[in-house]
Amino acid sequence: MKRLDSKGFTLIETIYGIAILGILSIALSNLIMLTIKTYKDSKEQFNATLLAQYYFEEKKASYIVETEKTVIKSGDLLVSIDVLEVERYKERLFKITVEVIKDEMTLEKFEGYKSIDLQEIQHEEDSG
Amino acid sequence: MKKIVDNKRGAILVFILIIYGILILAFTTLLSSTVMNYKMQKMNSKIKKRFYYAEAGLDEAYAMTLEYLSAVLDYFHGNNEENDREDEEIYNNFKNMIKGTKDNMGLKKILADKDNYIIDNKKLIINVELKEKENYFLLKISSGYKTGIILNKISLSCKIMIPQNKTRLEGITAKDLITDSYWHIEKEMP
Repeated sequence: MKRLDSKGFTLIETIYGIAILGILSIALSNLIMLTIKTYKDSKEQFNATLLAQYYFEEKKASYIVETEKTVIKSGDLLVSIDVLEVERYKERLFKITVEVIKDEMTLEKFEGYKSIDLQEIQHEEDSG
Repeated sequence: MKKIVDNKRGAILVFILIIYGILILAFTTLLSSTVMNYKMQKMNSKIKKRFYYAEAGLDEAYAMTLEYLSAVLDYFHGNNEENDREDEEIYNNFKNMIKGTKDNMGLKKILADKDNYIIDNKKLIINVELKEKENYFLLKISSGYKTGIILNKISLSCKIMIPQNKTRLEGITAKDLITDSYWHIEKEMP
């Protein structure tokens, strides 16, 4: 019986142990929070880049150009797509700006041009 | 010494410290892997952004080429003095306007000058090659962006035909002069 008593921890010891671990966990919580935050940011950045790329490529590939600003909601992200005619190269070049916003903060922004003439060449090559 | 080892008092503290150490190690590893993942996402975004910038540079260069050729054609179409010239003279004048003379910068210099671009010219790396061939010019425009030490380039090659005579010059547009255009992507290591 005496041998059995000496094995393991008593209830008091365990309670003390949990309490100490709890206190130490406060220091560890910063590390946990930082890990969770970085993971969330990383996931958001990935989604934002994918969304921006999708809408940017869609605008570049379309054969109809409409100079307008559209805002699309995708989950908790807002995608703002702006197509403008470049004044210097009228009817040749259009500026596309795609911005992915969350809580008024820009997560991703892609800027580029859509060239009507180059698209025609590629189109001709594709169909040929 | 044996007495200290046999004494189980305070063993819970050692046990807790070991668990705490394991937890710290696990979360530090997890954090470093998430940070690495975040950095990769940022880099991925940066590469795409730069690629679109480079592509925009090429789009603008092509639009500039068409504008330049339109201006050259407008000159020939609207200038009676040019129309009275012989075919060979027209051919040479056209060639000189593309190549550039003392009074005229020529297409290559215009395309190579980063200040002529609307797009953010600090980020733009543009190279232009204009080779004179028998009846045409071979134009190669490369627009690049750097990712670390690797320089990625998107290039566009095309032929600019030189009208052989007056009749060929009539009613043509800048787009008709450009043929055999194609794109390709290159990588350059230091």
